[in-house]
Amino acid sequence: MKDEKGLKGPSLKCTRRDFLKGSAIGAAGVMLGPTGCSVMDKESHKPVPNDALPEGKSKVVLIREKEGLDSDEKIMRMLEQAMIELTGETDGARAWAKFFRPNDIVGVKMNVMMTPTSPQISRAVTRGIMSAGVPEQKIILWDRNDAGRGIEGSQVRNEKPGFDSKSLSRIVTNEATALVNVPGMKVHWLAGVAVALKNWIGAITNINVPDIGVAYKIHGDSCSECASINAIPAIRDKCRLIIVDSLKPLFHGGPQVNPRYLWPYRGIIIGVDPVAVDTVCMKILEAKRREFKGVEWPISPPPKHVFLAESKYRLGHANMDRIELVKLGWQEGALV
Amino acid sequence: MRLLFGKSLITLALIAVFPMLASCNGGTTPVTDGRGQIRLLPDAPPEWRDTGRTHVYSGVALSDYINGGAEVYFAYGFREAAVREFENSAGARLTVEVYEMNRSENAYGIFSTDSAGKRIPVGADASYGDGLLRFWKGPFFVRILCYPSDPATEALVQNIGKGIADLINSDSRRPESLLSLLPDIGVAADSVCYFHRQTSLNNLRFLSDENLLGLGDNVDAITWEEILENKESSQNRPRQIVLRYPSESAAREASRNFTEKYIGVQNRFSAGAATRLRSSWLIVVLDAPSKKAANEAVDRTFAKLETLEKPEGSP
Repeated sequence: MKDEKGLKGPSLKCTRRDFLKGSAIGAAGVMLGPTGCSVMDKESHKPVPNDALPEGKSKVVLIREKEGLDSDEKIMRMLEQAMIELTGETDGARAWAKFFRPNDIVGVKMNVMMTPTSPQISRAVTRGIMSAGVPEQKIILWDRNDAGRGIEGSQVRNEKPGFDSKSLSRIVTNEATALVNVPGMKVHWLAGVAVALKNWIGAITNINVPDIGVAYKIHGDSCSECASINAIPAIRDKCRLIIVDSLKPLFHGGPQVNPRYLWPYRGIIIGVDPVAVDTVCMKILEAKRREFKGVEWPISPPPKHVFLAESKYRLGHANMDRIELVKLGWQEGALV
Repeated sequence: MRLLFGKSLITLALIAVFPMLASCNGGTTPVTDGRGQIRLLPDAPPEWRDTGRTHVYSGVALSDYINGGAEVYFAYGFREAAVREFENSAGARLTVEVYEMNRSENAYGIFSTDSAGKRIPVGADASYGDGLLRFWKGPFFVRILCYPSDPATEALVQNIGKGIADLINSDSRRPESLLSLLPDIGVAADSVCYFHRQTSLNNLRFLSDENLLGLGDNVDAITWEEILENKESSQNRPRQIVLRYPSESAAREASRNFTEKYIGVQNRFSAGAATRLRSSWLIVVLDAPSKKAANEAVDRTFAKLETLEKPEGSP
């Protein structure tokens, strides 16, 4: 059961009809994202591939500004403009209201490790969600087991939300009715790239790199099964929007930061298809590496999880021909 | 009886696995003064404040600090790391990370994964750039990052680095026999890397999903890029890999596998690849502009290898 906007309510029951309707909406690639309940037992958190790839092209909006990004107001204006472009609405509040309603509890999944989501972006996202009528204290910004509320949560996170018995964050399973994915953008030593798809790794616990005794085996084969975390119904069904902090991406050597490989791209990238968003970011990172070295410098290892997210889990498009990229603002050095 | 046996097995398994899981979940361990890395961490420099975030990460718990980036260190015999953070009134952050590897060659190895930057005299070898100092000495690899950086940063991190290096008394050994195979000229700057595992190679130059070269912790390998003087095409940076296996049979098996599954496949990659075996050593060239250029590169390294393996005193 959904309201007039097609958004799930916090305590709404799911019928078979709702599920089928949700699947149909998801397949149509509607802006509101996957909505139906899963036929799987959600408590198991077993990844469930989508029935089909989104129909048509997935829209991704890239906006950049050459100057003045120290100001929260400027970042907010950029994000608002991108949201208007993504939704086709006439103003920012309407654009945000396409994704969130006043009684939502919104979990904003940031990244706090190594190349953290910048506080300016987190604050702009929070203010945008608030413009849709969501109370500030109903917006939870978090990564791993550290959470904060509202605008202050962009920097102060002293709540410990914990994880359920299946090692998934309780913000995902118990608290949030909607999720926003707000990753940084980087090349990653083990996974190739770490952007939207990989950011959900911070929503699970009981993992380690050798995959010994873990709840989710995601690190083998170049982290290809990172894609599976995005197909966990509790994540997939609630995540409505992806906002990538591309102000200063890392094009080599991540996740540990060598500032030599950071560059002021001054961008924000948004969309609802996580695979399409990651694919655009991957293209930009590849181009930056080529530019830096003056010769081909492929991302190594290849980011298999992005391709697996398309081919195995059907979460979105990894083919640029199936992506509608809209570029706004500063065009010089866009690299894509 | 069968049930009891099963229960015993489960109990034994839990006993065996528990410390590992505890380590995975616990993340950080309380700071103690007894650990080598902690001893090496500096106090707050003037005008900097200790954030109180000093952590020690042992074994797989390093994943809690850098997630998948921990594999970089696991591939070099990682033992333990200590991390301390400082901040100043301008909002800059200073992070000091001391990693202890199982031997000094591996500290060199982790340094060699990205040695680009200005060389400065700290430890056995050090590079600096944009606020980051990386150096190694003995079994320790150290990163000191000040971010954002300013003109005073270099002196600050260099001083901290020297202070840490002075406290390390261990010998600093590099894999000299492998390094002696480097050509005298034409090695691309900062491209030399010493490694053991497939993940390390695939990060430098993706070869295959399959471990074609039989890489592992018991294999010593070195790789570098060469810049060809007389380039035959735009592809003028072939990569050489020299591997030393624990046995001749292991080298033979890797050679056979690589020849069959890489060289033997007709495509643009195999066209620029060549390989040659000598006892427990294997030489591999990738990305050469032609088969001829690949074979010539192999020959040059093979000649050096023959010199290396020649018994002392022989002509």
